[in-house]
Amino acid sequence: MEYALEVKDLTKRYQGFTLDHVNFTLPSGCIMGFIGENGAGKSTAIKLILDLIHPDDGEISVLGTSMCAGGKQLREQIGVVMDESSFPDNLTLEDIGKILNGCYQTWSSGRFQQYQDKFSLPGRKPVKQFSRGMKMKLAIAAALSHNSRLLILDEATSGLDPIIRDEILDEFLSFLQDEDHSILISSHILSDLEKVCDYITFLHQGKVLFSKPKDELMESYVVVKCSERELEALDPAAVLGVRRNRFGVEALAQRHAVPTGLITDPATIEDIMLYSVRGEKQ
Amino acid sequence: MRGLLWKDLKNLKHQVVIYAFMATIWFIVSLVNWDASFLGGVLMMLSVIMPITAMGYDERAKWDRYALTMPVSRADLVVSKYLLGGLFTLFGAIFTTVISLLLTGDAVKSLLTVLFLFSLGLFFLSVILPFMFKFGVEKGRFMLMAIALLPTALILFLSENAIPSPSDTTLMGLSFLAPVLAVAALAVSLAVSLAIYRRKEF
Repeated sequence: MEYALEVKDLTKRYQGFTLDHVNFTLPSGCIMGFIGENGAGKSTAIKLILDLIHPDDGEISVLGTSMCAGGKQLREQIGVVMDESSFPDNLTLEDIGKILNGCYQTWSSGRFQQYQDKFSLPGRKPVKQFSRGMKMKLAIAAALSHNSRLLILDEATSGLDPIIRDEILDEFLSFLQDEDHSILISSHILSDLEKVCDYITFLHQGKVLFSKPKDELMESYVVVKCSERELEALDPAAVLGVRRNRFGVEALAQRHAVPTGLITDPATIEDIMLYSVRGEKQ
Repeated sequence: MRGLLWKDLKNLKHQVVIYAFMATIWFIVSLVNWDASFLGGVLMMLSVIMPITAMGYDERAKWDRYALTMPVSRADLVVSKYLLGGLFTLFGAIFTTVISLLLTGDAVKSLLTVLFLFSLGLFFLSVILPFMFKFGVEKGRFMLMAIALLPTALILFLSENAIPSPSDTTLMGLSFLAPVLAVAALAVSLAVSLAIYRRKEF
C-alpha cells in the first residue's frame, strides 16, 4: 500500500510535555482525523511533519520522502491550512494570488479565481477586514490552487458556523475524488470528522491512544447502559471506560464482549474519546 | 523569491508612500540649503527600517511558519529581507546622488557623502537583522534602540576625550573604505542570520 504519510516513533521533548513515540500511517487516497484534547500534541505533531520544528527522535515520510530531502518539489504537492490565517493583514486577495504565483511553480491563477468566485471572496478588500470564515476559505482556496496531493489542516474548521463547515467539508471530499489525494485534518469538531474521515488517530498527553479505520472503531465499540451488577459481569479488559449517573452506569465496551439483552447505543467518536480520557476504569 | 519580495512591497505600500513623502519634503529642504546630505540621512534611516517593518507584519500574521510549508526555503526567507533592505538603500543612494549632483555639481563630494551615509545604513542593517531573526521584531525593537545609541555614545566619548577630529583626507579615505566594510559586514551578518534561522522553531 502507498502511504501519503508515515510517522514512526516521532518524539519531541519540551519542558513539561513530551510527544512520545508517535506512530501512524495515512494511506494514499484517504482522510485521517487527528483528534485529542487541547495540548495533546496535535499541533506539535503537525509542525514536526511540516519540518517547522525539529524532532528529537523518529522518522517522518511525506508522500514517500522526507520534508528535508523533498525540498521545494515536495512542498509544491502539499497544501496547508493553519488554525489562523497566515496572510499579512494589509494584503488583498489579488495581492495574495500574485504572491503565491511567484512562490509555487504549479500555481493555477484560474483555479484560485474559481474558488474566489465559489466562496464569494472579495478581491480588493484587505485581509484584515475578512471574517474568520472568509479567512479560512481563503486559506483553503490557496491550499487547493496548486498541485496539492496532500492537505494538512490544523483546526481549519474550528470557529466556523455549520453551514460554512459543511461547504468546506464538501470541498475536501471533492478533493479526495482523485485517488492520489489525501488529507490529514485535526479538529475538535468530532461530528465533522465522523462525517468525512476514513481513519482516526487519537492523541492523548503526547501519546497515540489509537490510530484505526473509523468504521472499525465505530463497529467495535458500543455504549452500554446497564446496572452496576451487569457491568461487573462484563470482561474488564473489554471495558474502555465507565461513567456513573443516578440512573445506573454507562460504559464504553467492545461490542463482542457485550451479551445480548443489554441496552446498547452505537458509539460515536466523541464517546470513544470522552470515555477513553474521562471515563473511570472499572 | 519573487513572490516574497512582492509580498513585502505590497505589505509596505503605506511605508512606501511615507518614504516618497519624506523624500519630497527633504528634497525641498535640500533645495533651500543646497545640500542633499540630510535627504540622504533620512532616506538611509527609512531604508534600514523597511525590512524590519516588513518582518513585524510577517510576525503578526505568523507568515513565516506558513511560508515554510510552501516551496520557499529558510534561506529564501532570510535572503529576501536582506534584498529588501538592499533595494531601498540602493534606491535612496541613487536618488540622493542625483539630487546632490544637481544641487552642488560636485561629483566627488556628492558620491562621498552618499557612499558614507548608505554604507553606514548597510552596516546598521547588518548588525540589526541577525537580532531580529533571533528574537523577533517585538523583542528586537528594544535592541534596535540600544544599537542606535551606540554611535552617539561613541561620538560623545571621542569628543569628551578631546580626540582630534580626523582630517579631510582621512575622512575621504574612510568614505571610500566604508562601502567595502559595509559589504563585508553584510556578508558576515547574512551568514549569521542564516545559521540562526536554520535552527529556528515555529
